[in-house]
Amino acid sequence: MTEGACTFAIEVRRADGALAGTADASVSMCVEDALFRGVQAGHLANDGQLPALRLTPTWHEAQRPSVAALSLRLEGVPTRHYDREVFAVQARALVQRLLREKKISDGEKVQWQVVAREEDADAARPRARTTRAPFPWEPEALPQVPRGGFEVRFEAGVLRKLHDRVRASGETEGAELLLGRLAHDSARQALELRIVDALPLAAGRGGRSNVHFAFDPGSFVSARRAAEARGDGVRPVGWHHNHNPCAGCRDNPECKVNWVFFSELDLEVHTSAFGSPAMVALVGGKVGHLPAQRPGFRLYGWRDARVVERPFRVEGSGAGVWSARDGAFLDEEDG
Amino acid sequence: MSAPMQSTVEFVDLRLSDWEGARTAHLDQVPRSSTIGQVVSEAVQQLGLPLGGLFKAVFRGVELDPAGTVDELGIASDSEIELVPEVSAGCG
Repeated sequence: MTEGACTFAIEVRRADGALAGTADASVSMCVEDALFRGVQAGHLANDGQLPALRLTPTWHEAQRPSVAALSLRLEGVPTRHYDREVFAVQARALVQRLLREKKISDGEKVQWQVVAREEDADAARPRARTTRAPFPWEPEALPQVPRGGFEVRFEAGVLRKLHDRVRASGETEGAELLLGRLAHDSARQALELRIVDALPLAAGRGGRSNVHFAFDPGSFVSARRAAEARGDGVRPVGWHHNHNPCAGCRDNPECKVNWVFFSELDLEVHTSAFGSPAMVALVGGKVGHLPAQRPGFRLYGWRDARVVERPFRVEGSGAGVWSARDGAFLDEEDG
Repeated sequence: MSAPMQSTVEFVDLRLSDWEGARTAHLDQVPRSSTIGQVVSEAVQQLGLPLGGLFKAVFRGVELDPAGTVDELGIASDSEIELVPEVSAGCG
């Protein structure tokens, strides 16, 4: 399956260069990105097959095996390039593990790097294989989406429901599973993700508070079952959660603190639970220039194997006056 | 009178999928003495899941004890197991 195979690892080193810890590094986010783009563009059939691939590291100058970037070539698809930052979430997880294991200390200055080594062709391979499902999209003409584009559209009623829930969230964060459909226009190589509902996600063993929301397997599995029980063909397409404002924000309408951002914890959730390239994450809460009582939203999703903020459209009537510029409804009193 | 049948099957074939159902690892000839933790680790590696340490095994809606063995937990050959993360979001 893999030509010129390399294995990748993340190393965390102390200021004096001593190795503090290492962990295998996954390149699956790059593989998924390349496959998704290849199928969207029509270079590959949407049949769940992963063609032969070749990963080529670009070394930091004179520091081999330290990796500065990597190139990924899927047979039949133009080569794609990824910088070292695609590994940042995995590096952070390793640092957190080393802190827990007291192999590094809180406040200690450390650096991380990605290293690549050629795989031993003679190494014993386990008896295993991997299969994948085709991307779950439905064919449809999408003249409203630019050629080659991928746009996200919310039904206004969904955002209003989330808006009302965020306003009422009190002093604990909440989370929802976003449900929707993905449409693909093969003639225009265009995609549109339509989000049509949101189901509450139950907090897991770790509970929830004003600054966190813990998921455990039951959180995801029970919400997905509820989605399947609808029987209308919608699928999990992402998640929403909110960040609560501090007490000062609630009491001071002039407060400009922004609580709508994608934290490192949020990145871990998206990477581990919503790793498919079309999955999105919506964050709700106090937008910097708006009062806490008028929550807004920002959307994040995968692009080039990294999670970045992305635009979205809101369609439908009767849910209120939506301001795309503010990412919020502007049809009610602040208070 | 025939002697009671004894199970001589020491291995099972297992399928482990991510909870989205996008990817599945097919593990063949897994020793029944393997712990669920070992099985999850192997599947996570096969699927190349980032942050592999976060994943738990769920079978028929029930989370499996990572220290339990395939045999102890009664996991039959060709069973389908889900890999689901335990992880926290937030601004903290």
